[in-house]
Amino acid sequence: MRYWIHKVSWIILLACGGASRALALDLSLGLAAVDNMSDQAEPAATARLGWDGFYAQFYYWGRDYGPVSERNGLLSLAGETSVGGFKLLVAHYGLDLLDHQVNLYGNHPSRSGTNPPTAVHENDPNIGGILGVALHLNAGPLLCTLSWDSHIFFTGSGFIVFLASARKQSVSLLLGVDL
Amino acid sequence: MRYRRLAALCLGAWLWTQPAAAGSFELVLGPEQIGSGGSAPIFIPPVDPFQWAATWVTDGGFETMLSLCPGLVVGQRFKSGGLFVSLGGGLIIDANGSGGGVYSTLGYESGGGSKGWHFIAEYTQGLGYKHGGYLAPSATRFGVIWEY
Repeated sequence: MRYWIHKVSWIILLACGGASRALALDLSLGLAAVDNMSDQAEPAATARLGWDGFYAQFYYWGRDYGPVSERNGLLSLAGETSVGGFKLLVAHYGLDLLDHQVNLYGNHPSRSGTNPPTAVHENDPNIGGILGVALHLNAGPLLCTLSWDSHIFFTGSGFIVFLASARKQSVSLLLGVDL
Repeated sequence: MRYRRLAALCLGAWLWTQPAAAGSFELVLGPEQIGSGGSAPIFIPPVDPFQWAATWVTDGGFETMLSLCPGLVVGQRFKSGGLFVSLGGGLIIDANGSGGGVYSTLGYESGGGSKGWHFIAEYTQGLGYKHGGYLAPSATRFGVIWEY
């Protein structure tokens, strides 16, 4: 978690520090439902920083079940283009960075009883692409964004030979302000 | 039986009355994800019906997609050069059932909409509702499009 806060804060600082007054920045926070190709969505927290047709959006979700603790961090860096001449409707395309962490007995050693087994920590980063559509609603400085995105990731040799891919679909609702 | 004949008659009458305008027809193939836990690899030979999709687009951009993933849907296609975005709705089909929903497609067509045969690549995602849950199929497909 600290790793992702550190990374995201650097991106935000660089974006704000390098921005001239001519850039239009917006910051939004919200909730998302993330599906892992099984028609079962998990709730996620999400934050978005947008500027001049580009944006960075971070999703964070996870769960604990028994001795297993799972955490996911997903960072999307994408561009937006309007669809059909409608200013409110945009299409997204860009890059995704995913980090999937699994801890076995690592966070709660008391669960394992009097003879705790060795803790296992697994970290699986991946890189992929984002494709999606979004609806932006403005009321003065206030923003509301409804976004429907697919985050498509490589699956090693399976992607190269058979085009098999992994996908996380997110539907997110964010509220924010123009900075 | 009587209703099937009536439905076929209505469909035939509707098709017969369509003006002979310009449009396009595409046939694409690619691996799908139908809510069963992973993306299926492309079949060799391509005998999996879920991996095929056929789409008819009128000159005005109204499209009709016939597929098992994401389903039987209609929508509007917005083009910008070779890139296009389609939005619409219909019957969304998945390994966990079927129901009404929406879809979106983002793709690229070589030739920029000029007449003739061209290469096309697209990503389609669907979001549907069924009793007790939702459906979220998707597919990455490649194929050919005939602009006439």
